[in-house]
Amino acid sequence: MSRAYRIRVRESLKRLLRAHDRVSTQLEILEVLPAEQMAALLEQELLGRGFERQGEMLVRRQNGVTVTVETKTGTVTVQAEASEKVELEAEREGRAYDRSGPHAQQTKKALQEELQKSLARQVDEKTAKLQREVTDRLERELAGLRTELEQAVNRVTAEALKQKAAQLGQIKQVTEDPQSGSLTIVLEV
Amino acid sequence: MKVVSRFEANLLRILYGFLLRAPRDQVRELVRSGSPRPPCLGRAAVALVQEALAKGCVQRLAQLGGWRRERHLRGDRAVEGRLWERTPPAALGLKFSRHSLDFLIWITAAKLSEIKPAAWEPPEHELTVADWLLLYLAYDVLAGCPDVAERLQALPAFQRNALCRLAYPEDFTRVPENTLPDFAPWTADLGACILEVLQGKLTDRWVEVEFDKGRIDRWQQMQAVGRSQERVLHAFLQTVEQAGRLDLARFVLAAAAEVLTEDVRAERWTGKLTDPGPRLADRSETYRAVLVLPHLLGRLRDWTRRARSIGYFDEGYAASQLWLADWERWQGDVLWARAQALIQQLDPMKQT
Repeated sequence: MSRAYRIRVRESLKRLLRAHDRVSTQLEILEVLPAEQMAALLEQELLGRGFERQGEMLVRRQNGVTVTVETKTGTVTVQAEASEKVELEAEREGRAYDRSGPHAQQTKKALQEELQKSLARQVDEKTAKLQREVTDRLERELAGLRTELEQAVNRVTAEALKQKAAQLGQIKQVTEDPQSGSLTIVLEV
Repeated sequence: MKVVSRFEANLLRILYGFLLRAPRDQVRELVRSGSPRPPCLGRAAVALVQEALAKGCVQRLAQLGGWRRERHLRGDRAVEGRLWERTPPAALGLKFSRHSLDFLIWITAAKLSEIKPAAWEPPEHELTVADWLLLYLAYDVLAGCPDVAERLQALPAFQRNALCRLAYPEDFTRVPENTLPDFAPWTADLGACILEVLQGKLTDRWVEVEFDKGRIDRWQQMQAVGRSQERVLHAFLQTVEQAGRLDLARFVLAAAAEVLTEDVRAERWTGKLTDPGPRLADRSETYRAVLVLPHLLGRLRDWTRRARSIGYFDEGYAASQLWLADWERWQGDVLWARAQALIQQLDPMKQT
């Protein structure tokens, strides 16, 4: 009468998971003044809002999200990334008709393959979860950023209009309504 | 009466099909089934092929749009009339190389229903404008037959065929990024004349592609189609700009006018798209693919700005005026405003 042997296989896996997401847009800046002057005004406004100069770019990091603005072109890039070290371990058990003979080897190999597939699946799931977290974080930040950039562009436009008006004549009166964003400039030409 | 063999009869039937002188279904059946290839063709068959190419291609070009009274550039002035009135017929001669006959023999012999039919790879530099045109006419007939079209899409002669890529951008999504046609021969002489003729066809095709995108439900497919459209149109626009033949891009404006109607909304394209992608970067790329045409209108608007600044005594005045006339005819400024509204609608960081 044959006897079954218990075969136990254990596998572990260490991985560094990475997730990254980014989105770009173009700021719509009216060319009230020449492009270089508009870029300078935008830079000034953004520096006042906590951005820092890094080469040609203005960069700000907030809540794990990096906002980069290229003032010359008005390109805004918002990106988020995250990494996570994972250590996964799993064990499988099977039965073979011999202890270390061909069937035991075959069973062990099959169990190992099964385990590796299972671990890879777990890694994929964790990567997808990390990716979702990164994307959600980015989306949350975008909502606030949209409003802030809109305000910045409005202020740049207002400042440019004032400068343009000053070139045309003597400014008599400037009325600004921050609620509606309207700006009235009375000029004497 | 001329006598031809069975293979030669099939070859002629296929050629007549490409020239729309035989039913498409017959042609598709013949290229699917293939015929045993003979060592050579008889004199009578070759004469019939020559006659069909000479008369049939000219007739197809006339039917496709050569008959229309259009304005196009000839040197430094705009000329109006039918194709043969704009260009002397002597300059419209089509010269086919031996590769055209080779292609006809190959397509008659190869069983295109097979997964891997025998390849046909002529040296590209030896192909003439007329050869490329024949390949395009062939593809145009076989495009509605996905299994056969797929075999042709895998051939470099079709991947690098400017007319096929321009007219069927959605069919060449699997072509490597750096495999692009050389558009230069199509912006001068006979090549430009053929492209003038095809303006109507290209307009119809781009409108069709844009409306078909509304049926795409997978973001990966949307991205693939958009990338293929963008790649080919970007390269084409760059070449016509360098050649000063902006009038050859008229079909882009005409297509945009049909697509960007007053009531246009991004949902026309994204209606079936349940998931635009898992990451914001994917969604952004999907939306860019959705709106390839509105995005590329920006380039045409730049042309318009430049054209407006060119004075009567400046070089390129006639070309600029012709482009401005096209821009106004299709209300380019209105189209551009609609395009911007769409881009904003799908911009994840849109400013309100």
